Amino acid sequence: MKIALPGLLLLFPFFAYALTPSEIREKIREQVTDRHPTPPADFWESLGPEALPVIRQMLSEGGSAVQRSWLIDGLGHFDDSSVAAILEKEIKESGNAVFQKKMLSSLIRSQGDASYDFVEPYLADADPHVRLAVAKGMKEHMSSGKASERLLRFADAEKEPWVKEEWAKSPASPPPRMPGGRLIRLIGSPGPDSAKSETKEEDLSGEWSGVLMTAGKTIRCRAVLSRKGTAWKAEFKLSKPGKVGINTENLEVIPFRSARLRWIELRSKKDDAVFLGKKERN
Amino acid sequence: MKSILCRQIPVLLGVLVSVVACSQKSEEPPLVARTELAPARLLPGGYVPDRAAIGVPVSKGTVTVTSSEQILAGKPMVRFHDPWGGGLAANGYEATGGAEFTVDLGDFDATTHFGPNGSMTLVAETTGYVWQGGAYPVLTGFFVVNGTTVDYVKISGGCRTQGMWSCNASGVCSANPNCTVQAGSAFGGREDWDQHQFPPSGYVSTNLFPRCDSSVNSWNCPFTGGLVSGHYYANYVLVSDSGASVAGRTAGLKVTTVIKKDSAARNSQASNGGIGLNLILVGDKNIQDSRTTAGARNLDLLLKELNRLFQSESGANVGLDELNVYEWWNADGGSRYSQLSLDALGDLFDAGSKGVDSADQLRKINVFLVSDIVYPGANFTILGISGAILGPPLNGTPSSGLAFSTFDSLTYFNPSCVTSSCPRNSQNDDFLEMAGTIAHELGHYLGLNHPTEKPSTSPNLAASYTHDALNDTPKAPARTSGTTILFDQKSVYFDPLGTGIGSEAPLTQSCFAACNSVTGVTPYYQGLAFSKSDVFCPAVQECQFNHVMWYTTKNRKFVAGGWREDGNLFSSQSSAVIQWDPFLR
Repeated sequence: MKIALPGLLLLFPFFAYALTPSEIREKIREQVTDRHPTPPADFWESLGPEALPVIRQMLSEGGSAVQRSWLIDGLGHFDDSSVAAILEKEIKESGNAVFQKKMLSSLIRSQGDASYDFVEPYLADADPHVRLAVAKGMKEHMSSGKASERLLRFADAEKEPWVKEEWAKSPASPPPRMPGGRLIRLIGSPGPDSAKSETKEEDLSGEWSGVLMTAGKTIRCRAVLSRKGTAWKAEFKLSKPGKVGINTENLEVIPFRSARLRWIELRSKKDDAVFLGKKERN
Repeated sequence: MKSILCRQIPVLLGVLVSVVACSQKSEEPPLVARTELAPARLLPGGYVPDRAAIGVPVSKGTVTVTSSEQILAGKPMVRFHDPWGGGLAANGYEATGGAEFTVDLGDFDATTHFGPNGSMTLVAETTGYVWQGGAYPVLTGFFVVNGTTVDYVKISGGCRTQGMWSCNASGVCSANPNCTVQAGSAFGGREDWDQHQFPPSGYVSTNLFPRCDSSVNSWNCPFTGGLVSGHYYANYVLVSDSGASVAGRTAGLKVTTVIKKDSAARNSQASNGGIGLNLILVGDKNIQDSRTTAGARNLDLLLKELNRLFQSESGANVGLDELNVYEWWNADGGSRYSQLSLDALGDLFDAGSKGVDSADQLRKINVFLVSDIVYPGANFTILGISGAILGPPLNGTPSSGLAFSTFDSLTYFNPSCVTSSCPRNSQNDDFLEMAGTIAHELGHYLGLNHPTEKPSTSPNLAASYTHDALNDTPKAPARTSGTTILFDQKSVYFDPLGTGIGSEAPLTQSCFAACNSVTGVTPYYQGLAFSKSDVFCPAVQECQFNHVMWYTTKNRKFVAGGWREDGNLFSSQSSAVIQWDPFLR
């Protein structure tokens, strides 16, 4: 999943309130210093769009090599044009193949097909790890015919057996992108787009698919929302069997809608947990 | 129908196995053609460690290590959730019927074979497994017959009747609560036991005894001193991660018994021993760097710092023994492993360790310096990792080594250093951290856990925490920041004794009190910004972040021309645990 800016500022308005820059910095630092980190797959997404300026700031401050590796990884999760500018400059100037490889991977992840012209020459790099990183990135994040055709030629020309083997094993399908669109917050606390939002209450009952963010992890799941008197109650259905230890009663329910989708934010009043879900508009 | 392999949820060191995902197909497991990894072609290193700079080789001089191997063929298997069946014979210890079987380890005399600080390490590998996946050799019993049989590993009957794991229809499994380690076992509990049977990579289990005694004992340990005389046996079950049924299928078990004899009691000599290392430089860049003046100097400084950490700062009184250096050039296959994903480490350790001098097996730990270890599916670097918590003393297994990332920077570290006697204050933070990382991972390889794992649920519940089994390492709590649980220097420092999750004897005061008492001021830890001064308290045992096995990197700040930093300490019991390891001589 990639974070589109500035669209996601609208998609995730509550993130702007949920995490301050210092909190984002603390979360990044927590991962960087862990000797055996196991970050959730959507770690960067969970930080929200405000993470990008924090990452840029941390990169500009220097720091350890391992922190730099994390921040470069983070850049790849944002499709902002500033990411391309930063990475392309650094790639050209870097004399370190390890970081050059990482930056190329992140650039491709961030920019997709738009990075083709910049990264394509690196398919012929002398360093096999650089070649492999670019080829794997293109396979996973580019969908143009030009990229596909070039990768076929790469596979034919590559002489290093282990590179061919690793490339063949790498996944080909691009990760799902967040849908674009402007959200209108219906009820709840004021957000950047809520000045003229509708205030009537919709029927929000039914099933919503999305992510549940609890302390320490983010889980894909569906929420079945139902009325219990004047309050809302949610039942969470995880995509993988397991349990969620949060109080699902007395939820704060904040609906949004875009042209195509309806969105909902559920906040547990008793636990640190937030669910963000969507469903097609009727 | 295509079978889906059982697979472990990615398990990293420091995180105990808690969930296993697997399918429960009943059809035959598919056959898989296996090719054993060929030994790496390693060349002698061009870099020669400067022992005058690093420190002279250290050894206790009272240790001998021998090994013997036996292979048992045609043993039945179970899957994670299959009952083992059978039971124990009338003697109460020997496996009978079912999938569990007994291995005769032979007669041993306490004085002749072990001495007061000797040990027995059992390295078990499954052989002849030709289907998809593999089978873990799980140690289910360890007992000695010497007139009165003593059982050191007691596993509850629930494993035999219900299996080790309970799986739902979707194939997600969790530890069967009725399959437990019973009181009076050498393992402190189910997680402690699991950890040694299911390593992060490969199908090899490593179990060392005694792992406790009257002075290293927080769980009713059955060992009161060293190993006793008698006839030793071990029970095993081969646990396959095949999704399809393995009923009627068999595999073999290779058990290597490694006997360490130490004729001197613990802490009785001028030195508690030395650790020999095979330093394996992987990839042309690291090798070429090691052959430069700056690269060689930095390797000397790295080993010197590692030696200092183990010998003096940690309190372990253990030094570096012999050092061999190897080169694994790109042209010889090193290219593939010079930058690798975390999930390829098993192949690195397997192939790489087969390439070292066979005479050094049992004598030297394999330390691979690679350019970059990448987290799977991501782009960030893992600084270093051990092949297992308690690594095998044998080569040629997927757990046979440790790996560390150099970032291709061996020549770039410490630009202000011009000799191998360059002071620490002139060395880079990153570089010192690299030495600390090697010390930490060596601690894992020698059998140590993190004192406390970061809780994943409430930081206010003692039940949320997993602690090591040693009762002289401090316990420490986490804190919350918004929706995030943070377990860091700040949460450790500010925990008043007894609040949160408490403390352990012989520690009698909180980190906060001990640290402030030593420094005379309220300390400050770099980056956490919760106090005013720049004072650290690296020698304070009460602060968990001062331990070598603390789970994060260290805070370090350059103040007034010198480094102020967190400590790298071993507790008394941590030092005792590593002294049983056969690599410590």
